[in-house]
Parts: sequence; C-alpha cells; structure tokens
Amino acid sequence: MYSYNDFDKNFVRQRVNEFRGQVQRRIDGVLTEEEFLPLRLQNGLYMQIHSYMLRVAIPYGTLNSKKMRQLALISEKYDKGYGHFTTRQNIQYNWIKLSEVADVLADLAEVDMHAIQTSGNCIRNVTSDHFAGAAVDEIEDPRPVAELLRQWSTGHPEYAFLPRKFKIAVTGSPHDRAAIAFHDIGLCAVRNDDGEIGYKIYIGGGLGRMPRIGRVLSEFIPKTQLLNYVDSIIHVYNRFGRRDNKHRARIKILIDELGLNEARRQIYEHYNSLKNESRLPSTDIIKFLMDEFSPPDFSTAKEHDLEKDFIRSLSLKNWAETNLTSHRDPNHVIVSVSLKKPGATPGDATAKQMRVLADLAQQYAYDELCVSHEQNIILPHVPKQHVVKIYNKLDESDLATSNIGMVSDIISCPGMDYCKLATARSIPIAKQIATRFCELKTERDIGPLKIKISGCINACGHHHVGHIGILGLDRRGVENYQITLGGDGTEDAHIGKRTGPGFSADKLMEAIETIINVYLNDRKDRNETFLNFYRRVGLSPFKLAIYGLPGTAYF
Amino acid sequence: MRKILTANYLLSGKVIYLNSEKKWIENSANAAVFDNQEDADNALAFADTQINKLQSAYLIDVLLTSNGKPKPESNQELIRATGPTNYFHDKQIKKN
Repeated sequence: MYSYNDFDKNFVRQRVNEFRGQVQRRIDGVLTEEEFLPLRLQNGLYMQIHSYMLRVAIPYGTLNSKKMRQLALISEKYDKGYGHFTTRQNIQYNWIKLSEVADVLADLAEVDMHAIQTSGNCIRNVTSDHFAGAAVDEIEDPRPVAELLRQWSTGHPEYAFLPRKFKIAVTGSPHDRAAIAFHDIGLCAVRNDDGEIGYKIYIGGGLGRMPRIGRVLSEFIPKTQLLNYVDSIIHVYNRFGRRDNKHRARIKILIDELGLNEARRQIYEHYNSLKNESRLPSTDIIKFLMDEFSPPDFSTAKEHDLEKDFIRSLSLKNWAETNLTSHRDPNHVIVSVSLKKPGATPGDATAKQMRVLADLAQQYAYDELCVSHEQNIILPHVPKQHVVKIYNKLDESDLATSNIGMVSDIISCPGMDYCKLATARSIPIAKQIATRFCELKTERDIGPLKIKISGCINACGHHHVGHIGILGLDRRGVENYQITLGGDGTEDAHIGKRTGPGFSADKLMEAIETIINVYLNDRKDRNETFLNFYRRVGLSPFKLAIYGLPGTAYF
Repeated sequence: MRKILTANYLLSGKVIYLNSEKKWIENSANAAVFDNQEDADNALAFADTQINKLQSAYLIDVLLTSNGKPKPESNQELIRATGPTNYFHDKQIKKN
C-alpha cells in the first residue's frame, strides 16, 4: 500500500491549515458565503438538507486498520457514531459542524487522508477494482496506476476548474468490477502481443441524466505513456468541453458532439506533441509504485480445507457461498463484508463495526481493507485457516449478512433523507425491498441479482446499471419510482431499459416482486440468472406482468 | 401565499426557522407565517443582516395544519424539518 512521503504529508497539512484560515475568515465575516462556497467544496464540505456533509476520499477504496480506526474515531468525535460508504469508494459524514471541520481534516491528515477534490469541477477520487491485488483473473494490480493518476491529478493547477467533474476508474482484470465503462476515463490492464502490460482506454462513459457507455479510444497504451495520454484527453476536454450548460458539460457530451474520430484526432494531436518530451512517469517511478503495492507474503498461510469448517456450521456455509471469492493464492480467500443487513441503511457502518473490521484486518488479513463501489467492505487477503474466526467475529458485530450479489445487497444513494439534489427517498425503498425478500426467504432461490436505487437523475445509486434499476422522481409533490431492467456495469456494459410509467412508493414493492416472480416462474432453470433471463426474453413479459394488457390504465 | 423563512446556522449547520419575535428556532411549527410579499421580503432582509450567523436563508411554502401551525409543503422541506426517515436522531427524540 502506498505510504505518504514527507511531501504528501506537508501538502495535506498545509491544506488543512489553509482551510482552517478560510473557515475562520468566513466565521469572522471577511468572506461571504458566496466567496466561501468554492473553497469549502474544494475541501469536500457540502451543505446538505440537515447539515454540513464531509466527503472523505479513500483512493481506490484501499484502507489499513489505522485509517479505518481513525474514520471510526471521527464518526464518534464529530458526527453521530457512523459513516456512510459511497458508490465512489469514499466515506461521507452527514452531521459535521463548520466550527469543527478543520479539526476533522487535521485528524484525517494524521493518517494520511484528506477530503481534497471530493467535490467541484476537478478530477475526483480515482476508483478501482475492490478485489485489486487479490483477484484470480487479474493481469496486474491496478492500484499503482491509480496511485500514479491520483498523485498527478491532486492539486493539478490546469485542471482545478474543468467544465464539470471528472471521474477516472482503473481495473487490472478483464472482468470489470469497477464499472470503468461508466467513467469519464476508464482504464483496463491488457497485454500486447509481446506480453507487455499496458492499458486499454475508454472515454466518455457516464451515468446521470444522459447515460453513455464508454468507447474505446486506444487498445493499448504503455504505462510510461499513460499520464501523457490521460493528460491529452483532459487537455482537449478542458479546452472544448461545454461550459455554457451544466447538463451538457461532461466529456461524454463533447464526444457526442465531436464524434469519436474527431475527438481522437484532437487528443492524438496533443498526445503526439507530448510524446517525445521527457515527462513523468519514468520507468523508475512506475517500478517504485509497483513496489509500494507488493503483495503480502502469501507463503505463510497454511493449506486449509474450508469444507470441513462448513460441515460444522450451516450458517457459515451459507455466508461463505455468497461472501467468499476465490483468491489468486489457493490458501487464501477474498472476504466481502456486507453493509446491507436487511432493514439497515445500505453502506452505513457504526464506529464499533469499523473498529471490528480494522481489528480483523490487522489480526488476520495483512492489515488491508477495501471499500467497494457496491458499498461493502472487502478483506482482500484472508488465509483460509482464519475464515471461521473472522466469521464468528463478524457475526457478533452484526456484520455477517450473507447476501453479496443477491437481491438484498442493494446499492442506494442517500436520497432525499440527506441529499439536497434528491427528488425522492432511496433508503426506505432499499430497506423495504431487502426486508421483504428476507421475510419471503426467496433470496437464495432468486440467485445473483443487482438492484440499484438513485434518488434523482444524477444516478449516484447507479440505477442505469442495475439488473433492476430504480429511479426516484417527484411527480407533483409525490415520490414516484421508475424501473429499468437489464442494466449491467461489468465488461458486458448495458444501460437498463425503462419499463414504462413509474410507481408510487406504496405500489413499488408489488411491482418489484412481480418482476422477480416473472423470472422465477419462467426461467429455464436455476442456472439462468435474472440478467440472462432478461436478455433472452426482453422487456415484454415484465411489462405485461406489471402494467397489464395494452388498453388498461397504463397504456 | 403562505411562507416561512428557513436557514442553517453557520457554525453548527442546524436547520432553523424565524419566529414572529425574530428569533431563530429549530421547530418549524412555531415559525412566523408570512401571507404577503412585503412581510416575506422584510424577513429576508432581516436574514441578510445576519450573514455571519447563517449559512443561507430562503423562504419555503407551507400549509397550515388543523391547529393552525405551518407545515412545509415540499417533501424535501418536510424531511428537513423533521429529520431523516432512516434514523431516529436528536431532532425526532427532542420532539417526543
């Protein structure tokens, strides 16, 4: 894991002191709210509907126990004893006071963390695969490249005021768990014919009011040229991205308007002008970053037969079926800890739970944790001999929900319960759906199914890529929920299709249950997943089931 | 028209409302109701004199309940007045 050097530490501390001064000048009345607004946003401080909200960056989701414990401490010291892990691998505190925010940032700086560039029209936190460094199918750990991009983009003077926010995701595996096709730039590790590892580049993907699947700009860029290449993309976007219309200001719209070929021509014109300059990164820097993410010594783990543990405990077996994933080393597994207990708020963890996770990571899992964009916490490297101990401790702490990838493992944005932009609530809908399928005890029978809920068109809950997506809107003062089907955020990227008119909150549950019953009744067999079933039969049978025959009220 | 004036405290971020004695209070039901533009504008002008105390101030539409108390009309302002619906936080506890 990358550790801050003195430069990083000084940089973050200086920013804390600078912001402390800016806060004081706002309190003293030297700065107006209008003048203060961009300053607080550049430091991750929003004003939401109830209070200030601080969004803390967790680069590519990776944490160690010290950082996780500090996040727990901050939640108790300055907030209400919990934090909300987000779909961009960050954590948000919902009840921060302006008078204390500089102290929060100082506490974060103590553990090499900050909230810089978690808001505003800049390059945001670089996200990655939550199984990075552990995945069986990985070509290489994507985090050295993510860290390279983080260092390059943090405080980049030319890109502090882009036309709009800019999101980059990196994956090292062909199976995309980081939704790279739905980012402004997505990078995916590939090998060329000579066996050299480089990155395939996607641009112009995104969710929000105009969802787009990213398109391939280059099949292969060597690592030494990556910064020049990404710089060239953002350089063109910075010059020509629409600044006249906030809703048309993302790079996806520029690509729409220029066309991919012309966009590529302009990007390469700049790229070719940089190519021969001796700019960073040198191979030494890339090697340094690769070394920073060297895997732990996996050879210390013993051979261990988990099947014998499963025989002794059915609940462990059930949990293992959904929450364990094969690791690149045969004596290890990846443990996904669900923050989606049915009836609880998706992505929320109490200070006590954060400390339990920190303890487990430190004691049994090489001191490493990762926040997933699906709002769960991953222990990427767990020796098999420790699985039972970890499960028992998670169970004691209300963290052993066995539902990863299932119907109750719902992504949900904070929605109108917290967010100023929201047009409807998301959390109560997520709670209701998860609780309902838990009561019905049909979750295992339904199998893999991703439900994603956004409380407005900005799509922080990724509803466009949910197998079942739910979008909350306001219809003349009443919350109304549109359903989309068939979305997919993986390498087989699809944007979900809308079923038709939306449903009120009290009718939505029935519609979701009806949709799932169509699948359960008509699937070929249990091996045909909901998504595969949808791809085979299309929207029609679902529409018929939820709206009735054409000519009835909805048509 | 029926409006009340709301803001957030600058330091704590707490949601507040202006009452008829020009004091900032946390309970929207006890806020001053303005039924004409002049009174509403005067309230906003008063808030402008307190920019070092407030994060921002704006008017919201309200309905009157059966006991004559104002109740925010929009869903968002209603949740803002009563607290999030997923947790039972201090605002809800205080009211009960």
